[in-house]
Amino acid sequence: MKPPVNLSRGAGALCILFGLSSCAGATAQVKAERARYPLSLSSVVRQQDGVLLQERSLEKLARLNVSSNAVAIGYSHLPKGEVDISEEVNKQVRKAGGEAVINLTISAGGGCGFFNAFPFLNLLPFWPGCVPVSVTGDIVKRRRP
Amino acid sequence: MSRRFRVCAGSWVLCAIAGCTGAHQTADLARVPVLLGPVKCIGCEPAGRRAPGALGNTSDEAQVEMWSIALLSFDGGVDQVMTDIGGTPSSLAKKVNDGTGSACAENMVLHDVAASSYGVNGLFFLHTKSVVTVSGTANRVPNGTCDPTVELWPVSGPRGITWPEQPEATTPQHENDGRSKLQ
Repeated sequence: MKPPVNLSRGAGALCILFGLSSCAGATAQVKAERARYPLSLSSVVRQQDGVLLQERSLEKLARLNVSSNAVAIGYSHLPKGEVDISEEVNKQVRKAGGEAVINLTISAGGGCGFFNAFPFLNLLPFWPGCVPVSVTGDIVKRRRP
Repeated sequence: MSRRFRVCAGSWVLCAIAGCTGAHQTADLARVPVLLGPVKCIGCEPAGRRAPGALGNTSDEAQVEMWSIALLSFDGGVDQVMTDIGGTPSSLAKKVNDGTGSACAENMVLHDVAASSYGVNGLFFLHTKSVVTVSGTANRVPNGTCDPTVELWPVSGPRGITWPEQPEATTPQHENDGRSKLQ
């Protein structure tokens, strides 16, 4: 299988290409292995009997908002980070009384990203690169007929 | 404060600004559930990583990148700073809709989601990039059905605008009209 992201190699090549330039960055796998609710990037989700529920069959209760940072050194090579959103998702959905999350959006950028292009200091191999990851969505439950 | 230092400081500020524009990955217009994590439906127990009945793979990459280059004048001052922000928005929903057949009986299960961000800078240039990559597999849902009380969205494709419930072999009305005229 093709590796999902090959930025490290690209960033390294760019560093060599530009000689005195410097770089930093990070890569993170986004996981939800211990989530106890369905998380859908689309606006539909299924219930247990297999019926596909659209937005109009669902009631929006709250907005899911999870943010995390993954840090790497060695010009983004070490280590390969992981962002697990399971616990935070479980907590927010349970608090809202929801049954699922729809319209899930995964974003990278902003936040600590300015570390990646910090002048001069990112020439150092131990300067931390950072990828800010944010996950948002709508916490929903089924509408009662 | 030297001019070169100001260029670097300006680059750093630009980077911080560009950092506000992140890459986003979503599939809000997909017709089928695009699932992250082990729970496949409301009320279901967490399932294994790979569900049975795999139909095909889909992957997509959304990215945002920024280039900023300072042009110097002959006296060593900064003549111009050129900045370009571009990227590729998410097309996951379209790929999922193209890669799945029946909206009522299929799910897309994501098995790889990665977010990356890096910055490269020298004295007179700056490049930042953020990427979110996803890949997943379409799976058949044995007991999958559509809510009979809810009308599904139409789908635009090579056969024009069709409704998910419409059988594959159904010929659009306008084509029938054309044929009858020829006869």
